[in-house]
Amino acid sequence: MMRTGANDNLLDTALTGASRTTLSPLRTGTSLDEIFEKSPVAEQERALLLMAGARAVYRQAGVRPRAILTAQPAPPETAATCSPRARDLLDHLLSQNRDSLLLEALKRLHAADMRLPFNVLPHMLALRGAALRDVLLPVLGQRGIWLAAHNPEWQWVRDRISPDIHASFEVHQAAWEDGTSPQRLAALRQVRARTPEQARAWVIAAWGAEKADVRREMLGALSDGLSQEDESLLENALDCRSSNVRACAANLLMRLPDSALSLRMRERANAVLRYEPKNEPLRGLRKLTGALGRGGNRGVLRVMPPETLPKDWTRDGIAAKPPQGIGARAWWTQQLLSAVPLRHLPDALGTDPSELVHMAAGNADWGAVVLEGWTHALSPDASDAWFAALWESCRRRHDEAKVSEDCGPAWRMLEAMLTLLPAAHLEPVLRAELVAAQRKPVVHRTGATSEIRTDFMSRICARGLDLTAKPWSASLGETYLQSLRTYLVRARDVPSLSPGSWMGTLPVAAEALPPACFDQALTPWTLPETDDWLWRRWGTAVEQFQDTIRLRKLIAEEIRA
Amino acid sequence: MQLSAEQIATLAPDARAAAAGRKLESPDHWQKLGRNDAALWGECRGSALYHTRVSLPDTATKCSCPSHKFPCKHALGLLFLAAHTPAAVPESPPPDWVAEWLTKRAEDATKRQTRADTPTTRSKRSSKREALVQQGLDSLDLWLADLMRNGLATVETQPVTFWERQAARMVDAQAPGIAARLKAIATIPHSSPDWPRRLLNALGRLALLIEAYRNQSALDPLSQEDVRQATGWTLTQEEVIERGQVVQDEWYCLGRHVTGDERLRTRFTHLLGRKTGRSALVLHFSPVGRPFTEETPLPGTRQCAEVAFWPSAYPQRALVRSTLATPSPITDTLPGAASIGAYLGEVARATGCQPWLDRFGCALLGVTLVRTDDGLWWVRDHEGYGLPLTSGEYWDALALSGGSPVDLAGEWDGEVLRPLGVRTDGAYYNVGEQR
Repeated sequence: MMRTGANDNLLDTALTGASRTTLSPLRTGTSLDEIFEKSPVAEQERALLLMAGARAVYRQAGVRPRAILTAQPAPPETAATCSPRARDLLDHLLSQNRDSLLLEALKRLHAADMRLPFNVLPHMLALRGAALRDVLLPVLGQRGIWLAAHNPEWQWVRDRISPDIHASFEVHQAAWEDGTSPQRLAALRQVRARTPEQARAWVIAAWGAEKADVRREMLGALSDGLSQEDESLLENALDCRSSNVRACAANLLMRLPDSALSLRMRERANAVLRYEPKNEPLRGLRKLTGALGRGGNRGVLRVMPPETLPKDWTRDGIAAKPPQGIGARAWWTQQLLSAVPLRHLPDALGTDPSELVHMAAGNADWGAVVLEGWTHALSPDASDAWFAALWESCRRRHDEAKVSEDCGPAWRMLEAMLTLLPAAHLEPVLRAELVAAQRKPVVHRTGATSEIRTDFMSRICARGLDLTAKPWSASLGETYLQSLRTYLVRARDVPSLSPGSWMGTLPVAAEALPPACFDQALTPWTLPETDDWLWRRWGTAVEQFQDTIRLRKLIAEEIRA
Repeated sequence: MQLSAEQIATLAPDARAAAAGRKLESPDHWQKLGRNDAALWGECRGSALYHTRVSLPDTATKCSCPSHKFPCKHALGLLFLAAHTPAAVPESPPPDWVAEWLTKRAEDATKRQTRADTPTTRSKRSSKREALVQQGLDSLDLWLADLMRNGLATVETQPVTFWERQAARMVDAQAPGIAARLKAIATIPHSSPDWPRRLLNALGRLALLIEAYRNQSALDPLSQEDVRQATGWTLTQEEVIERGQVVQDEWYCLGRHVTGDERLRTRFTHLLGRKTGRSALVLHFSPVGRPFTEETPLPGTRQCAEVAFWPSAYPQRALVRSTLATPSPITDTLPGAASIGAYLGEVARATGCQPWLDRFGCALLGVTLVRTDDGLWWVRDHEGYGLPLTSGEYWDALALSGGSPVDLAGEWDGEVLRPLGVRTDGAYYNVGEQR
């Protein structure tokens, strides 16, 4: 039916115009011509149009299909899929962009050894974000993998199924030798993951010829699979002129507990800090510290930062220039203390963490610096005693601050600790905060023109809830709901209340409450019936909260083994 | 009620309304829920207490809420609720506000069937119009002859208004069918590399229609009907029921799509009868910006109904005269063609009877979907022959089929196939926007 061009005299005539054509007889080239011969049309223009029209109908009626090659069908599935209701639910979550709920549903699907239903596959494959793709991969099924192979935009599936780790060493070597900068670093990381010594050899060989930026990137690639064997390379890197490269090398060396740098840092810390047990000439100070906390025999923590920054400190990655708001000597000390793992301190100084923290808090000149350094030195594997002592101390400083500027540094430390706290520690802290919130009085902050009444929730609580892994434990969830209900009852009587943190935690809680708390979350919430804007906002927030809980309840009911 | 959420969503005027309906699908929002064979009802707690009711055979809805969306989110919520939590909607006698509504709807339906114009006013109007149409076609014929004398090459530089002016004249001449063809022709120049060929074909077919209209007395009565309908003479619903065939069957609703210009949107719904194997095309119209209000068979469902065809040598356009049962989802194989060759044979027969047809319902059994490396999509039958699909992406359908044979429904326009649905694994899935 696509026959056009030179031998189509109808089209040629139509294009140039019937008037300009010499009178060669018009023909359709089909059996229609017999009809037109039998009943000729007088005018040339009309004949042309009628013949073209008849031929178009004739060809439409006679259209023939084309031979098409077949394609390989998808292999059969091994896993079962979810219920139609769950399928419909997945569709809904996709169309509403509820990514975090989608993540939850996909995880449940995987846990139940099920695969995605076919009809949602195109939308799922188009999702972005590493977290979603990680949980998608195991539930794509044979069909999803087959489908992804047909669309270049879904190449990520193939990349994740057979990542470059399996590419041969020669390929990486070629990339390392001749590739662009990003290609070289990618090859370096791949090789480092499998044969760390090979990657180290490459870096050592290339070191002299590379600029600072590249050196730093190469060191970054060594972060994976770091071992004592890397020390000499890193020690050598400390002589680099670039402070960025030095800081990077120093950071890696600090992670090696037996490195010379770690030992040097510890020695420096020992020289800067000294604990003096109960000392008669300092009786006056003892009285003071006794008044602040527990009584009893207390020593003193002496802090003796260097007057000028020693050369060898700079070499080990300690930055000379302090950020705004902190003195140079304090800055050096803080960096130094951040670099020494806390477990060394009790032995080196001869007393336990709680005593040390207490003493540091009592040191008016340098105490804050020491505490901040120690907080940064905290790692998730630090002992409970250190967490408890530092938390307690920062907490007190934060609560006692009269002006909001004063509580800033303490809050920063608390926040840093919140992110480091292992779940086993974070949860009791939050439960205690939530219970305390139920009894707390309304806080008045009076500004120049208006009075704001903040709610009873501490920011530790709001931030901590945010940081707690989802789903929360049942006991945390119950405590949260209980405190929230108490708050809503008490808040009714507070005039001109501000929305505050409680409302902000609702969306977090909606996605984090465990299934055991769903029914409690869904029992009706009684809010005062007023036209007050704040309570209207609360109404909407609670409605959205419950909608999310209902969806999650459905997910839990519909997707299970 | 057996409708799936997907089918209910196609009832919604837009995606927002569907999502709002989903939020009301929890029984928490409802009270006094109930159902019987004819309807669903319930009271929804929103900013006030709304009375919501849904008639089951035709999914018509009514709600006491002030929303101007139709159906409103409450009615959609009630349908979702009944689909997902049937136990929450118990069998019960309808309350007064439901019973009254059902009675009124039944009365209206009877009234509609008995109401008609008086024959004399109709004939007076039509003889006046007859003259107008004749004049209009004569002037168009002259214009076409002029066009051909000067050659289509001169058209290349003409603006769209060149064609639209003629279309407007045909509207004035009360030949809207001709006007619609001219508007379609206006889009051809420069639309594809072979546009001169397509333009000549379309103009030729238009000339054939004018010729046929002039000589209609020489045609058989049914072909006369076709020519008059193609020109733009319309029939009222009553005339269709009176003069056309009424066919009772279980109708499979294959799917629908909407086309439109800046003023009017037309929705094409394709039905296929299980017993008769007949294809029916239901048209609905709505001004742009307003939803379609007609109750229509839902895509992806089948329903026993009486369908009345417009009188024609190859009856295709139809209206649903009455539904005889509640719709249920399509699960079994479609009453379609076993091969592309067989299907095109039927298209050839239809074209032979009624050359003004420009779209055909299509159901192909056991076909595979193929995407060639050049990014084109095809449907391929077991004999190895294929038809091209309308340009677009059909990943949903490919995901569902997995490259294995499925039943595929669509609309064939003589050159490309627009997919409307896929049946596989005992379920029917619509392809493309069904709103």
